[in-house]
Amino acid sequence: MKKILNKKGYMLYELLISFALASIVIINMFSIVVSLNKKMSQVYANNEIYKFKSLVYKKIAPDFYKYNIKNIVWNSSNQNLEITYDINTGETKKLVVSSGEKYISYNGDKTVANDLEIKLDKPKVKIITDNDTKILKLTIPLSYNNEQHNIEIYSVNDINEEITDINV
Amino acid sequence: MKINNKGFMMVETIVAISVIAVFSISIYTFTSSTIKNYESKERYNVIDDLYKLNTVKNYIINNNYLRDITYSLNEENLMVLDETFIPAVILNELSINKIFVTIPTKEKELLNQTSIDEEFKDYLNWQDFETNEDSVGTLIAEFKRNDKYYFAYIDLVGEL
Repeated sequence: MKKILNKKGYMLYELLISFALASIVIINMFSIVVSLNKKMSQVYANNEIYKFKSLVYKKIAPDFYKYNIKNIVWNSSNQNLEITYDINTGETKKLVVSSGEKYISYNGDKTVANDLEIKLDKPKVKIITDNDTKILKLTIPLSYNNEQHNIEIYSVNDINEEITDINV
Repeated sequence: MKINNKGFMMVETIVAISVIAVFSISIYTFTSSTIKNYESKERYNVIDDLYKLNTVKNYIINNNYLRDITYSLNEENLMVLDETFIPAVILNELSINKIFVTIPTKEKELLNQTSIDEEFKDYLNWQDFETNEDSVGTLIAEFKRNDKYYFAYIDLVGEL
């Protein structure tokens, strides 16, 4: 009978070993791609939140450090925390943290959290005292992708006796 | 039965495996050190830490400690600011583990000191300190969060 079949094929164990090796490589590469993707989205989220934080810090920090705080009021109707500074010349400046409308405004200059898909929760004010030391801590709770990235800023200037903790 | 004798020799197999092993080990070493470097750099000069350090700077200036600090820096290169300068309540609140002041432009000389731990040396080695002409000192803080060390620095500028 004339030879019609090509017998130069692979043996079964050769095929099995090749598939096993290929699947090991593919599984490893897949897990690398998944972890890289996860890392990339984390880096993107961090960039967004740090960008927002930098804007806010740059806007509010210099005067927060420089001037004495005259009063702090929590307005429950619009969920605004209003901080008024006593400027040396007699005029005042106002910082508003609005958890209702999700913005931070300093002297009318607004930074909106929602524009960057950042969640802004109710701010807190805490007076920390120890003997002669008294500092004021303002916490602006921010979150992005369910990760908490608070802005915490401190005043070591003279603090008005009437200012108390605000934690709503 | 006809047997195919065209296999690899033992020596060839061993050489090939050794080459692959050396190659894999070098790639692993390179990537792991790169990842380690990247992770440690993520803990240097974080924006929140810089503003926390600024709070300490304001406290020093408000309480007129600049002159005392400058006087102490004339005697030694590195000064650890303890509770005589910064109250423990502030350090705890800001999660500051240690706070140092050094002479501007002489930060790298601290690497020769044996009392400094490795984490701090890594930071000093990596950081390119840019000092202002009016600077009286460089304020460096070591923060500790979740058992990891974070570092940040700012210039100590103010009127004596």
